[in-house]
Amino acid sequence: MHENDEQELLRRLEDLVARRALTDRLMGSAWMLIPVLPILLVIALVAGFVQAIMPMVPNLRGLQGSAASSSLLAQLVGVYALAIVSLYAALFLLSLALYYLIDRRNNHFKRQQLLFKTLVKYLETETKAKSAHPSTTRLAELCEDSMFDEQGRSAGIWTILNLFVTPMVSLIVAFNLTQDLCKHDLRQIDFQETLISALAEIGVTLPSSVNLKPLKRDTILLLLLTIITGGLFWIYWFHILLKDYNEHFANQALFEDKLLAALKPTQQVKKCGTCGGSIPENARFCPFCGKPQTS
Amino acid sequence: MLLHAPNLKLVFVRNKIVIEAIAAIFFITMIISTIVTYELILTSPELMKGIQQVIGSARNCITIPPAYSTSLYQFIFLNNIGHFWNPVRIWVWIPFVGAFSLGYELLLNAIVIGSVASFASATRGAAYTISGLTPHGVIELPAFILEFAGLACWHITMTRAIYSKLSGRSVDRPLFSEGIKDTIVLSLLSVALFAVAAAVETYVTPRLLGV
Repeated sequence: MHENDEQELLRRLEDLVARRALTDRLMGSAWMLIPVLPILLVIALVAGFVQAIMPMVPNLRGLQGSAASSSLLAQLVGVYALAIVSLYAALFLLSLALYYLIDRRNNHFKRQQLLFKTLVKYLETETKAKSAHPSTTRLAELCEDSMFDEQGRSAGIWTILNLFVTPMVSLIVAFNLTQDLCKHDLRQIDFQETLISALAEIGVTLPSSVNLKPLKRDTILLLLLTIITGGLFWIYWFHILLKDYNEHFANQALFEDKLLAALKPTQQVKKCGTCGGSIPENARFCPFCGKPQTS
Repeated sequence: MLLHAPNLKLVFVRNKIVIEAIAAIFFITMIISTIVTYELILTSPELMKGIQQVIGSARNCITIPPAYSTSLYQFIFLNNIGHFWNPVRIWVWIPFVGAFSLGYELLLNAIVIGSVASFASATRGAAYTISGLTPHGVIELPAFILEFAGLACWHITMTRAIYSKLSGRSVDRPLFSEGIKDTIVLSLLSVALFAVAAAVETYVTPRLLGV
């Protein structure tokens, strides 16, 4: 019975690790165009406005009622319309980026909680079979804290608010996302450290060189510098928002791979040459991206 | 005690990101403003005449003391250090809310300095502008940046404390005192630099310009 439970939990763990290809989506550097785009647009529009309108300024009085005045008016309306359309397009892209950022945070946290829960169950099964140890209690506590603190944020509502109410909403989203990740990272490291000692007590050794440095970001400083610099600091904040989550996912993946390898030492794993996912050594196709694997 | 060299170094290390961000935004905005003003002047010389008239009428409203005089020194120095004590701008000190005004002031100052440099260069020539603005500018611009960094530090410290209270946590006392100390040190440094810049502007710049 115990053997069956253990196998079932290991299979569940493998399944959760495999799901990371869907939940821990990496966002590439191309997304950095989004915070830069409005600034480039404003500069281009100001330059276009100056080029189109300024040569006519000295003759403004002479233009009254003439065909040239209609042309000037048409140009002004054109620049205005272009400004509205392009800035709204930039706002739409920003809202899209926010949607992806919140969505991947939610998915990652959810998968992480399930992974924590399964690991705790696995340890409880193991300790029942071997000898009881207090680390499992601590892990269960951390798991409960995570369930309570890291609930999903509504990606849709925040995106709509950003698009139709004010782009300032993106600052609140960035503030929450940064703070959430710092808390999550700290809790995860605590969990990993406790897990390593708990596993050691039941005779499972995790290989070293697991990154256990918690992420620290001063969200108040980031928010205020964005306000003080008239929004230009937002480019840097957006950059670290992408980078921090990507790095967190990479560290998490590394830990999960090592954990799986330690729990199932008989099964050899390798990296997929295309997507980098952990796959069985003898796999002919990658279960994540579907690409054929060479031996 | 506050202005000891090791303490100063620590203040700069702690507030590196604040000083760098403010300096970067200030210089980027100033350069863009210089280029845009230059383009405006090139495309519409009539505009330059208009601006000259506005400057001329503004000069009639403000009495600038004569060069090499103590009153000119006091005028420049007090004008610079009293910028955020002016009743119009004093609300810049209100925690968090004042940060919006501080941002506006930062960008406005950068735009004005860039435009003035470009305009002076177009009307009086590049050599005149460089000799008239550079000697005191190399001291005054860092002073401006430190002044803004000090104020930013004030907002960060106060907002952090208010946010802690609002979240039901206790204020991190050592961090709070450190923030206040950093605000004072950065402000004192900016005042010292403003004093030197005002002296250069009063006694050196007029000589270079042949006034």
